[in-house]
Amino acid sequence: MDPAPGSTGSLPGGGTWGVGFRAGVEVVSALVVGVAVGWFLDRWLGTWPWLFLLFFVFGSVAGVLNVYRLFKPRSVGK
Amino acid sequence: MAAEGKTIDALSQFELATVLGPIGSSVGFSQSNAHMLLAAGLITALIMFGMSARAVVPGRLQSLAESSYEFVHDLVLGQVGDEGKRFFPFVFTLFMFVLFGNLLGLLPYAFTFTSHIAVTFALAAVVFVLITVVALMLHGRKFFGYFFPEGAPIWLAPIIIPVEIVSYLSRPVSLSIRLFANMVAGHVMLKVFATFIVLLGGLGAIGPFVAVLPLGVNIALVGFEVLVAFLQAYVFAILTSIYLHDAVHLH
Repeated sequence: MDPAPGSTGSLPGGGTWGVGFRAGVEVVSALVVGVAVGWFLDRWLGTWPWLFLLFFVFGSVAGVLNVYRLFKPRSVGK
Repeated sequence: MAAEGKTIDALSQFELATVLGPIGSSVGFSQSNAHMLLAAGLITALIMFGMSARAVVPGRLQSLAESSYEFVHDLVLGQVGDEGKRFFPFVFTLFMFVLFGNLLGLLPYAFTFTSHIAVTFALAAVVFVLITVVALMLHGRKFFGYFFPEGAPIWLAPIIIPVEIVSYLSRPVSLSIRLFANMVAGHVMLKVFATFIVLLGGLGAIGPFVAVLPLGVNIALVGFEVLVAFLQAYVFAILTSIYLHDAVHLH
């Protein structure tokens, strides 16, 4: 990881490892949230395992979306 | 402690223990809490003593206090825009607390409270509640349009809305996992290589010469960990600002 924080631009670029780690964290956290939401909804509604499976897919899609947003240039400031 | 019974015990450094004797154990006051108080005290001391001189040409402590203030100030205003001024105290507190937690953890005998996901997730949950409340206060019902981008075909709504909600809910999770995983990984590596020094050092006549290798790795790792400690506090602060930008401007 590079000592980028001198500038107040965007996120520090990091090396290859840094980028990979950040993408991995995004995917894993979206999956964790998806699985947790599905599991709790299932426990509440008694529909095990259907909502769990559905939200597992939603979690995977959200993970891919997070990684896409990570690399999409974003408008800073205004 | 690390090399007891000739095994590598890298995780016992994260175990909580109560301090301050019977008083601490009766209220569950752990060394993690003690280090949090220490960090808060050090930050307050840095700002108060640093700024007490109010010199035009700052001394060492004053320039440290001023540069940390300006660093976070520029960061928040650069990301959020002019509306970011009112969130500056929040982000500054968050940044300094995480930074001092990371840096204090590198001192010998110290405990890294940012290496517990309970702590980092609590911090991230505060950020998450704040950005949601700010977005709801500024935009009211329009905030819920955030979960369905304009112009998307309406039949896609059953797919897009749950995905966007899961993506939104994953923000505090990724924020906390990133900080916690970085701190744990760094401290485990330090401990593993420190144990190698002890284990290889006891290897007879050639032991001390071989043990120099993990010692060199550990010296490099400590330097790397100082960088990671600063970088992770910076990432935490800048992601908070990015989320605040999204909350203030919606997209």
